[in-house]
Amino acid sequence: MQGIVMRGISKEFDGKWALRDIDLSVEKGTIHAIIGENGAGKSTLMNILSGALIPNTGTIQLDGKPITLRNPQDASNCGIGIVYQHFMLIPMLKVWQNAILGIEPVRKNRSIDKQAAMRMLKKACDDYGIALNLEQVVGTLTVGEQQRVEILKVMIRNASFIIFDEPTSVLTPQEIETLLANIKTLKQMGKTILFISHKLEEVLEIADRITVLRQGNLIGTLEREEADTETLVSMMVGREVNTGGLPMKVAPGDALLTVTDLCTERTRYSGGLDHVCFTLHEGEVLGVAGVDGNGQSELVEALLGLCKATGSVKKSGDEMIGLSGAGIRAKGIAVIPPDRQAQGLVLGNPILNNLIMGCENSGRLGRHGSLRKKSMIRTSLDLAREYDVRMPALEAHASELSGGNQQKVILAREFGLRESDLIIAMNPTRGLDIGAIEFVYEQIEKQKAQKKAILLISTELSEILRLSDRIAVLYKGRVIRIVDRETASVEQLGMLMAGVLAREENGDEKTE
Amino acid sequence: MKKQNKNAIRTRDSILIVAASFLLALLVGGLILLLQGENPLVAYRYLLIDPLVSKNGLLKVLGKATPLIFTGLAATLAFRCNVFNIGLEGQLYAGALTAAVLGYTLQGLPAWLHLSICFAGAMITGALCALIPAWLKVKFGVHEVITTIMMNYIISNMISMLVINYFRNPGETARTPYVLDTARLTQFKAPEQVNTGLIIGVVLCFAAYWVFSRTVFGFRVNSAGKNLVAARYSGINADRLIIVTMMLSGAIAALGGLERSLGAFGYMEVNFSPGFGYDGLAICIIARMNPLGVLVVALLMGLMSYGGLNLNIMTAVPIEWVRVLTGLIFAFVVIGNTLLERRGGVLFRKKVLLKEDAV
Amino acid sequence: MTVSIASILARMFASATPIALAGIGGLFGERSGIANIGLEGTMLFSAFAAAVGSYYSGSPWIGLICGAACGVFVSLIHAFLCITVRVDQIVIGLVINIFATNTTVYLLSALFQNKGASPTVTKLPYITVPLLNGAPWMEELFSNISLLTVLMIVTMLAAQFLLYKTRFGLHVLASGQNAKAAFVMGVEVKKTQYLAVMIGGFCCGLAGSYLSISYLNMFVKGMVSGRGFIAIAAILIGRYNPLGVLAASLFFGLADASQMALQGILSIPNELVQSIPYILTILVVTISEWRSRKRCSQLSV
Repeated sequence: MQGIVMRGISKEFDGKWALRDIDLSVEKGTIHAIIGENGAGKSTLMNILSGALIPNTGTIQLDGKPITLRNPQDASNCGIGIVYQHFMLIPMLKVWQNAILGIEPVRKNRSIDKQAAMRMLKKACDDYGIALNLEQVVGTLTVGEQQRVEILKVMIRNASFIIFDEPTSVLTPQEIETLLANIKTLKQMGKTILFISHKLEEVLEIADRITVLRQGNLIGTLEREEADTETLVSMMVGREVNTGGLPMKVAPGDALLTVTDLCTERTRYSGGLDHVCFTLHEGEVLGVAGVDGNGQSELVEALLGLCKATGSVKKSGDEMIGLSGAGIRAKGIAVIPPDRQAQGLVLGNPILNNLIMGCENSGRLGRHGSLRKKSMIRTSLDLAREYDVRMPALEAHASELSGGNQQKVILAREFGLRESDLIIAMNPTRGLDIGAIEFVYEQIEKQKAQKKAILLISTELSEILRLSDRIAVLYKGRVIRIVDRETASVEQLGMLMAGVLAREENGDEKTE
Repeated sequence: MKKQNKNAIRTRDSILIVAASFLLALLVGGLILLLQGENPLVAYRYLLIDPLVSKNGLLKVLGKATPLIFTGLAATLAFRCNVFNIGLEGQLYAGALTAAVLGYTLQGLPAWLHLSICFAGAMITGALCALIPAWLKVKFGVHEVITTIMMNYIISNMISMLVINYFRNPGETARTPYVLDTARLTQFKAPEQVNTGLIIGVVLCFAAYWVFSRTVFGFRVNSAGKNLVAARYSGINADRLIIVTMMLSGAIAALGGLERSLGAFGYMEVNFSPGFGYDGLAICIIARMNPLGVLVVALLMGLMSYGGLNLNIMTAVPIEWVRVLTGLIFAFVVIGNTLLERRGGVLFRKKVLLKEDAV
Repeated sequence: MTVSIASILARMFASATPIALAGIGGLFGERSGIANIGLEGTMLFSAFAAAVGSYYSGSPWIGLICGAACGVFVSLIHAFLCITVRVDQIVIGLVINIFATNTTVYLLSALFQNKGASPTVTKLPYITVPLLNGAPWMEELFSNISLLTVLMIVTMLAAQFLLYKTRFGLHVLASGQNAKAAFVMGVEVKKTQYLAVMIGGFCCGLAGSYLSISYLNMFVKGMVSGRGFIAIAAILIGRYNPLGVLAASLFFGLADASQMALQGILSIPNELVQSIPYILTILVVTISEWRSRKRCSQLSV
């Protein structure tokens, strides 16, 4: 029995095809997974199905009848709901206000009927087993709770088709288990689920059918029985790829960075750092694992002097707390910031400027305050070539580069140009396709071979496991444990990421 | 690798937009004139042509343009670092008063020393006036729009008070005494107001252009102005940059006031500015923050300013109509620039659909 | 000039009226995500329109309608340029302010052949609240209240209801905090923003009208004197909610009333005393930002 049938869907942005002629059939009452690398077009396809985007060509049928989705309301009216990857929430409003936004019940005098709204919401919470405090301000919820608000929004609009867009990227391994179990329950209640992910283990666990996209094209659809990891990966990428791997072995040197009792302020929306301690050696990669929102950004900012911090951060014996941002960078630290567009590049500036930003007054490029244009151009061209940056011209603005090339610009600048012995990299491969990811890993290990000390902060556990010699787990602003890569396991790390310490440590203490 | 330099295209397009806005404004202004019963074509001859061909007309235009060069440049300095220095008016007055007072009170000094002290004094005062909003912005995050405008009102009141109570020319209430000869900037052809201050302004524009394209400081300002967060991540001391650019901006605006006190008039009159500070902002935006563009636009506005006087003498059109006209140009340029940016920075572009290869 | 408490209080309300009206209206636009730096210019245009309306018709009510309509019209242009054309919001505010300054003077010259002020016009009527046991000081406070001052209180109550209890208000709050999420949830973000800005324009129209046909009985060049910017400060200090804006406006009104009373009494030059409201604005805005940074709370609902 057909549920949703999409035929010939194509979508174009700025002269580039994001989707080409996609056919998708989703059977009612099944869990249908859509997989592909970053940039494959999964989110675009789901945005079309949820009414947020209008396709250039193609048709959509629901239960055999053609439907037109001009906006999210049309999709909602047809019973299609979507739990977004990046939550669509209003942080300063309460849960109930967020949930009924757009479908508010009103009284005769034009005011919102809060009682009616609460009745509706409580019923939905009970029916679907969603545990939430409806009066709480959304900005103060945990990430898992915020996702539940998103699910509640979908449920009270009586969705029968529910799309989950990369729902597990912000959850601990245990929370992922809970979510997958909930999704199976929804299927038993008769709902149809579309599940977008690039994580194959999850997909193989719950999906009945799997559709693979690559660079906007439909590669194929498989039943669960026909699928296994190797087949799926080769369909996603188009070639055989070794996705596993262990970190390169390099004999570690002296301690370069010693962090003791590093604390930052607690604010209303972030817990801050709580006495963080660790040591980093030359030639070593220390991975900092943890679920997004447990202090990663605060750690980077504190180390770089971009926010107030107390405690001690000693690099090669020099105390860095209290120095200005410029002073700290001058001590030889390379940074791959988490948000390349907002923190790593000036999009409105030429690529040339971006390649040398931060090093503009170093000997070769700037002397006595004035810039040496010829030297700048020559250095930039060398860097671009060495780091394989594909660009239309040096003078073109950085905004014209693809995500992967933008990241390469940052790598070229920080690894190739900046004199450093310490590297801080946070989520260096976010949003990149497999080819670019491999390139980044390669460059990181090249730096490691040069005996640099590398602090790798990442919310992707697989990335941590691939590159780190030691792994620190960050939970609620605290480094609760540091383990060696060789003895680490996903289960153990998952527990630590959720705040569960080992039994011997504190007598079965479970922190939430 | 194609040598496609998009920046060159942008400059050409911005000039086109300014020209189109100018013509459009003339059109609308002409309609207003018709409503007043005047002949637009005749009026435009008085406004635009006569000043350039008449005796001394060019000098008068330059004289009118000079303060605008300073305020336009001052606005550009701050704007490049993404700071809205709306306090130019106050900084202008502060510099004018400082220069005038130093000019008439310090006696027995050689000209080079006297002038140097006046320059230094004016620049320091202007910089201090700009420092307060800048420091509040950096330290507390107070938006500079409110603080700079409040400063304008405060300074305006203070200036009135100081002149009326302390620095009054005997017998009059609203101006300072004449400054000594040792503090005068030479006028090119008295009694026209154009003086060596103009040269200083022009030189500063070229200097600013060089700073923004060829120095480390300028590079950092450009980065910070477009993305403060990324600049800070790359190790630039953004707070210090904001304060320095604001202080420079205030100093340059103050020099504009100095030029009036020591060059054009030889004294400072309370309320001498018909809005030079605000005009400077408009010029900066029209010129898209390019110091050389500021020079050109300031000259154009100077032409219209003097042309307006001429028009007022020859017809019944009030001077304020010219200011309405400049307001229209400003509005149209702003709209035009926005539309240009929304089209990706290129006015004429063929839409090409790329054919992706099949897998 | 009497310096009794009652007279100061009365003046406080009078001075606060234009600021509060402009601020309460202006906060709708701000909350919906459209900054409005052009309150000053809108008030100036409206003041002029109100004076002209009252002059040519002889009736202040026509003047009030003209002023309010002018406010809505200017804000419509502001909304169009900001929301549809998407010009930078601060620059548009500057454009409106500069335009207002120049156009009003030009029109003064063209219509009344006078560059400084318009001829006198008919004022709006005053209201006297009758009290049973009126002590003299109460009489001073409750008589000769401008109609628009009363309207200021009404506006605050209406705005409080509109923003926090209605569907429109919820949409405004949502649009301002996360327009993308609001759109996805079905909120017509652009329409909401247009309406919010126009509400601001209407209130600015009332504020401007107050100046020329109630506070004074003519239009004077530059008569807004920075009140539009003080209104912006009031919005900031009042944490973007109507009650807070009213409180902040009363505070500024008190400063203004005190400075008028102090003139000539202390041996400080008048101009310095006149600067007090502006200095106070800077101080209070700074303290407000500092405190909000400490608490690290942004807009409180």
